[in-house]
Amino acid sequence: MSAADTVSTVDGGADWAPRRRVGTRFLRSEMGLIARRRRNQAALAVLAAIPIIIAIVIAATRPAPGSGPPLFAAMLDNGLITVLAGLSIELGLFLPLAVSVLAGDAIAGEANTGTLRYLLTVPAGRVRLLAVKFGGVVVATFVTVGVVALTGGIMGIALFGTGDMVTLSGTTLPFGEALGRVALAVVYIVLCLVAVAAIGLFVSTLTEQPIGAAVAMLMFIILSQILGAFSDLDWLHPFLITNYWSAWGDLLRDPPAYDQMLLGLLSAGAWTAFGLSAAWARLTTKDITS
Amino acid sequence: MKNTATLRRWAVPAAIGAAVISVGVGATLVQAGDGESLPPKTAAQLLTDVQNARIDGLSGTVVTRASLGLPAGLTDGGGAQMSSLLSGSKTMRVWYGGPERIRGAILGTLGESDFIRNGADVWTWSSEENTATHTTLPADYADTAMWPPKAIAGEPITPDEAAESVLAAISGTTEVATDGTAEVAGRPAYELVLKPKDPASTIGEIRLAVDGETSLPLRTQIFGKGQTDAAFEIAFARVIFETPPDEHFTFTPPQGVEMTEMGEQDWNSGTKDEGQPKDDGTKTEGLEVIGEGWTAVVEFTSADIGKILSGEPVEGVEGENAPDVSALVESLPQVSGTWGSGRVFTSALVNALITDDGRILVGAVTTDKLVEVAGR
Repeated sequence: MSAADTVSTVDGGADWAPRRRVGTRFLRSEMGLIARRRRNQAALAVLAAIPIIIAIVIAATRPAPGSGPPLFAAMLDNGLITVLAGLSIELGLFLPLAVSVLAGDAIAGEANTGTLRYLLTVPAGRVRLLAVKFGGVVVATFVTVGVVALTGGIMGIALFGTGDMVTLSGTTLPFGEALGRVALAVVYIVLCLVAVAAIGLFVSTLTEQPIGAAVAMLMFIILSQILGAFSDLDWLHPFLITNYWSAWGDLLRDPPAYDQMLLGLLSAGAWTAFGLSAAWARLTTKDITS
Repeated sequence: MKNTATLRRWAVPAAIGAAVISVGVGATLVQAGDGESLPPKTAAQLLTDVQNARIDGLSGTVVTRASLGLPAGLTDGGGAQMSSLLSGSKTMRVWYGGPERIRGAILGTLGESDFIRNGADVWTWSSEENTATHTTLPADYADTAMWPPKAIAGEPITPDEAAESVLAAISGTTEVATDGTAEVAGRPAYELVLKPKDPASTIGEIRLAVDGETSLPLRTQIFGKGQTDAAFEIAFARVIFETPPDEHFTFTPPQGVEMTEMGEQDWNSGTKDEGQPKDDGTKTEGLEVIGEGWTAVVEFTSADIGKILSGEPVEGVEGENAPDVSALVESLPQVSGTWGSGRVFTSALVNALITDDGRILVGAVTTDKLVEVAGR
């Protein structure tokens, strides 16, 4: 270990705390905190209501095939499409918003209420704190997307049944295979949102205002979507965090196309690595005063 | 000291960001750079090989890029329709299982247009319109290969003769050369360059990247004169030379789909969906090709053209399908010749002359040439 490293250890705070048994108590407590907050419960209820509303409106209006947004008319034949229609609508704004708020709150929320330094006086290193905060947001993201998918699935199957699913290529899939494809799409969407959680966590270490962190993160996502709409900027598109979010649609082709989704996983992995390492660099070097 | 420590930590995310960007940019650089070293070939050899390329089967992804400089109103960006190929970048999936089994799919976001040929059955499918068509090829056509096209394959002669005859046929008008190698879809390829000799052509050059192993053209780029970026490019992004399974060539229209049976006779009279502008019908009658080769100009004459230009309703083109182009036409620069006056529409590759007496002349030629042809 070089001299500079030694200095950084002393200077950088308590991240070299004595090695302890890594338990799940800290993470469980964090998840409990997230789950018990009224605002989070209310947000989850609203997000879960959206696929239900979509399903009811489609069942009532029965749009002609080929009209309206893609997927909406296809829902009439197969309830599982409701899951995808709901998620694709919410992926535009609601889901990134929810993840941004949770991630923005993670560090800045503690700093804002003055509890961050107390958390660090407990012999919990900054790295461990960051890991637990990130783990909490990731689990919450999984739960949120899962709940939206589940309510959409239950409502869709109740209203539209489990008929064959028509792929974008014009072939039909039996229910079992359709279920597998939808499950893959759900997992893919979660992984895309994990990247939002990582970048959001980094933004959260920059400020003591949780709302500021969440708004900044959301603006970043909307900016990505706007830049993604300009075809003249196509050289930039692969680097945008939102670029591959709609690639799950390739699962609805026959045979499914995985190229874009694999790139999407690489992109999400890169953004996650960047966000987490930047959050680590920031949190372990900043002066915690509140 | 603290600054050094802080900087070291920040170096980690910075390194990750730099690595990702350089990998991303590097991927495009590799595509533009040289492929692996291939044994040198002359232009004639390459032409021979392209003609004799016999592919048993392949599946892959094809990307088209167009920057023709067309006005935004003329093209539509998002969908999976055929017309969308005119602007921006589009992705297609292709499957080829021998001359009688072909499938292509234009991909849109949550949309797809398919073309499937399996023996005598030809299907088209559009997920956005939720429509399908079925055409039965006449018995004589059922066994006819669609690739290679007759115009390229010609009569079976020895490969060398074929290359010589092609070279002879085009050498009067075209400069043919090779230009090293390139890498397309991860495969090393030869570059074959065709340049028109006629100065009236707007085409600078056409570059073909010919696969080193199978001699299939993997990429075709069309450059406007003096341009460094291709005005139009079609290239494999990924290709596997294996015969795809039969299931990729079967199509059964799903329930609830608007199905149009085209029958046998309709094969030659266009396969347009209802509601589309009937441009085939109106144009083929008054269509004339003037000149040949690189500087061929197509002239459309129809009473409808005058009506469309002035914004009057035309039979068969109604409602929102009727393009309102009168304002666009009026914004175009005016030209005149011995034959009268008109307006020219220019793009990176193709120019058009719209005359006041209701003719449209289109060609990959300079506007001066169009004006000259119009007064012929």
